[in-house]
Amino acid sequence: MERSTRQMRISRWVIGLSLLVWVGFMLACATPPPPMPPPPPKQLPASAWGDRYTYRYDPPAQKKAASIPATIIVVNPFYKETDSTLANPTYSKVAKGFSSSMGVDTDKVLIAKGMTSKGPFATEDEITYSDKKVSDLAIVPKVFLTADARYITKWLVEGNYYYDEQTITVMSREFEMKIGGWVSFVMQEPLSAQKMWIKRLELPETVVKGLEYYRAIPQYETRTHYDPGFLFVPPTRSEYKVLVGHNPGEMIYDGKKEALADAIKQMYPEIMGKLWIYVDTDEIISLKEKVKEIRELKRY
Amino acid sequence: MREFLGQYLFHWTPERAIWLGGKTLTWDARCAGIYAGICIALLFHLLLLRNNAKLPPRSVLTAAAVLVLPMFIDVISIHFQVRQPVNSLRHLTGLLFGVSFCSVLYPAVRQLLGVSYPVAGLRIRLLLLLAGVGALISSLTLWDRLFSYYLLEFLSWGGFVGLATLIASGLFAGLSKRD
Repeated sequence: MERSTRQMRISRWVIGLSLLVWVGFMLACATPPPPMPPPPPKQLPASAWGDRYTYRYDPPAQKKAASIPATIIVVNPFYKETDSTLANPTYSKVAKGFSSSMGVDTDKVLIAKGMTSKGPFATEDEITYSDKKVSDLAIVPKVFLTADARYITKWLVEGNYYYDEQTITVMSREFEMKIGGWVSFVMQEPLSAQKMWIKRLELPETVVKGLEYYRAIPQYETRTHYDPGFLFVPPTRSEYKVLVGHNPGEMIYDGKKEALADAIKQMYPEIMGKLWIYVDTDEIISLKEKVKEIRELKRY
Repeated sequence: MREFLGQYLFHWTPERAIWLGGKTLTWDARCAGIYAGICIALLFHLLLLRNNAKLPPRSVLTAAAVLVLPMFIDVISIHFQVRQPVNSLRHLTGLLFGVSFCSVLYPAVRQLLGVSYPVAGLRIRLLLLLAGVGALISSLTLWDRLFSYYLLEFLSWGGFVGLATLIASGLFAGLSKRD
């Protein structure tokens, strides 16, 4: 009996508290939430390269300058092969930087091997007759790169970014880019362009990731809210514009250029390391004899 | 009057509303969830534990308290701007609260009404099953169809009317009866 009375008392408390909770929730929910200040706009990622795509290779050893009697012309690698990613105008700055860096570092390799170098020349056409005449050989590389990009994430609304002196909503997508290709080093007689040797280096596939940012265009839908009314208040319908998502607009940051530049940075030591091995001073001296022979045969 | 009801009864604002199949639930997301949870628990009790006048044991009360927690975490984290609000999460956490709330309230009302039979009370497993069913129903907030709208709207109205009836019956019985 006493237990029952206690249970009844608890039940009364439960009901009283339930009423309080209900009323409490009604009032609490009726209070609008504090306005959330929008977070400060973020900045788009800045290029780590600063539009200057330069690479650097330091030869592992240094011989006495001009200790080997051979003069070699250095030409920057040709990168505008058809179907090469580097021929794409999007990557022109990366390609130019890569090519001129290779020219400078090829020069360094030849000097470190004790030879004399001329150049680097941007193209073969820029080499004058007098330079060709006094040089034994010319090294003319070619670069061919392929880049296959695929998107690995769905569109993500990143929030507000500061762009072009205004705050805009930005969407992003992450991509993965597989980069491969080859580099060929051609050693040739400068006057006749007769090839003396060709060394071809297959580049290992390199995978890099990056982001693309787009202006996000908000998509609204007009939706109707039906208010059922109460007692003498008639029901009403009101229309609201509801944000249902975003669509990507113009691209405002392309991470592919950076990704390609990063991939080349990974490949670069290997490319130049191979050139260091390929350029053998004994072989160059023996080639000089053949160069003489060619010049006599061709009557230069 | 309409503004008063909109603010104090339905709490409906466009940003806190759930839109399904081109229509919106009458209540804001959290309240719609709470009433839907109450309705589900009430239907469950009426169908399976109608004569249960036994107050839940401590284990069930603990489980009920745990089910209530997500809603408070959601409310607090939104209030202190730790995260952005998500309406379907508001609905789900509200629904779990409603299930727990009704599972304690129903036996209390039933006891005050007096007609009790020796029936087994609510067990922890049943409460968790009820919460699971509720969560499944709440996931309809992600399915933008008219079916979701009608089911969730029915449940929230059912819960609202059910809660009002339960509290009114409890108050009436509690005030009219002596120990």
